[in-house]
Amino acid sequence: MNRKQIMKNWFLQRPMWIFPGLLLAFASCTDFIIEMDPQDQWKVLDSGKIVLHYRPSGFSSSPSPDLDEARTIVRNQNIYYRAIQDSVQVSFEDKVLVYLFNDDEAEKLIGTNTGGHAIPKFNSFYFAYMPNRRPVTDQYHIENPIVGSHELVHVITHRALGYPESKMMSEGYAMWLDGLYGGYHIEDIIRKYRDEEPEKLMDPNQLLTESIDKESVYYPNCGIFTRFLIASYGLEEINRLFTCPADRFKKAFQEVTGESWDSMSRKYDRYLEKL
Amino acid sequence: MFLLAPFFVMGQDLDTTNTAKPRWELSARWMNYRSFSQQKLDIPMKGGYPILQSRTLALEAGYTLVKGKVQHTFRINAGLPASLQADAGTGSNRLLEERGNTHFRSGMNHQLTFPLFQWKGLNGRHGFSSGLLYERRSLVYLSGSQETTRDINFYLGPSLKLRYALSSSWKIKAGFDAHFYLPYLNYGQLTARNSRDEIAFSSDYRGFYYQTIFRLGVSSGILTPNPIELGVLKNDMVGFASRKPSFEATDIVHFKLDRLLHFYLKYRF
Repeated sequence: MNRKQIMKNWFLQRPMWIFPGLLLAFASCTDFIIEMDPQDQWKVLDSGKIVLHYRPSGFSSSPSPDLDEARTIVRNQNIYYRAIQDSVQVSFEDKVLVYLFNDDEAEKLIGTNTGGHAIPKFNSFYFAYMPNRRPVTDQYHIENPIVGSHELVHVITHRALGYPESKMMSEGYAMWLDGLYGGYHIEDIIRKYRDEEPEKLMDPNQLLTESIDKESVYYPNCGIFTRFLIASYGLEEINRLFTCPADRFKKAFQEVTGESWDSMSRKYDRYLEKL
Repeated sequence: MFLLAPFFVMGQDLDTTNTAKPRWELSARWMNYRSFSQQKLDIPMKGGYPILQSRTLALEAGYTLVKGKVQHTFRINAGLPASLQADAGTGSNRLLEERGNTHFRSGMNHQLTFPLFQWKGLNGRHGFSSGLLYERRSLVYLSGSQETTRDINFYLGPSLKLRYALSSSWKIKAGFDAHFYLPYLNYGQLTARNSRDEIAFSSDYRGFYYQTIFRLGVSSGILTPNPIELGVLKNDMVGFASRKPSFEATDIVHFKLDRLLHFYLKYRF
């Protein structure tokens, strides 16, 4: 019996060998799902309730914020921090940690170079530094904000009101309080959809079921709808629905506001017509 | 004479692969725990700052039983409740109070293994590992608001054990376990309190986690009549938990991006 036959017999006699072998090969560690890559080269500016981590000058081929920009970001975030609490009527006193990645590394390290995302459990959000954003003045009268209030809203609302189950409420609050998408005011976007692209205008049912998940369509619609809900039914009532699951939302809405979902939907149609 | 004496004592092979006698084991572990934030959400994900970390002592007791070629090992372990610290990225905290943050971890495990191969001094066994893991983590943020998570999780996965006899007294041991935690087989509770100690939010959750455990140790029977094993264990756990059992990360209430490193000392008798 030659060596090849010996090997073949050996494996045939031990078919279970394949089981741990394959698992070792494919699942030998958790790094194929997630790689731990803590970035520690930061300059830190801690002021008020905001701790900004930003890259030092010359860190990469993309520009890093200079000290003046860092101060502006922190000052603006502190303004948003208070404004969000006033708007949502919640108390939140923790510091928020902001990690600002340079443009050329952001896609790889945080998954986007056109925005960011929040991890409320750690009072943190990650954001891409975009020095050449579209000039705009936001609803807090801040000109050309480098980092808007969207992710800060997620941190504060999720920590103070709870983790929302529906995207409609999570993104709705963030868009309502940020008021901008891609450098445009969300009511301008919705007016344009209403007048020129009505297929992009989403009704409450579509928002609840996320029937259009394209972000540039869903987010502005969510923001305007949340603004309508709060203006029409009161902040306290809508805050109570913040963590309500999508499949129970309609019933809970009626219990909290005393109005049926269908009746509210008709009112929302009229609201959009007058926008 | 005292120093030389152990070298005259023949190391007795007490590994149950060679004996039918049931064996007990006791081990002490120095456990380093680091829990990462989710810096990048889409796969391959990235864990980053802030990091929660703790160090504590854990104890484990085990019992091994052999029936024919089948070997059962039952283990139970618990760590002392550990104080958690946060690192925001530059060694500073900025997230948690200095006191009141705790992490506790306890578990039970059953390893069922069969002979895989025997080649010269190298011996391999393979089989299954299953058990329960209980974790409790309480965070007290700088404002005094809190978040407590408690979960009990069942897992199942393949297990591989390797042993190489360097001599009759010295052995190198290695092992690999992969644990799959299915959302239908575990349960957790999250409670968030504001700084006035009022409940701001509470929710049940079901986790979907994946864990790998690598062990590497050296066992010697020359210093004591029964073997002592010294080693290191790398324990990585990743996954998320939703309100309802789900394999999709759509409604994340809790997550575990944890790296644990244990240094252990084990005594078999």
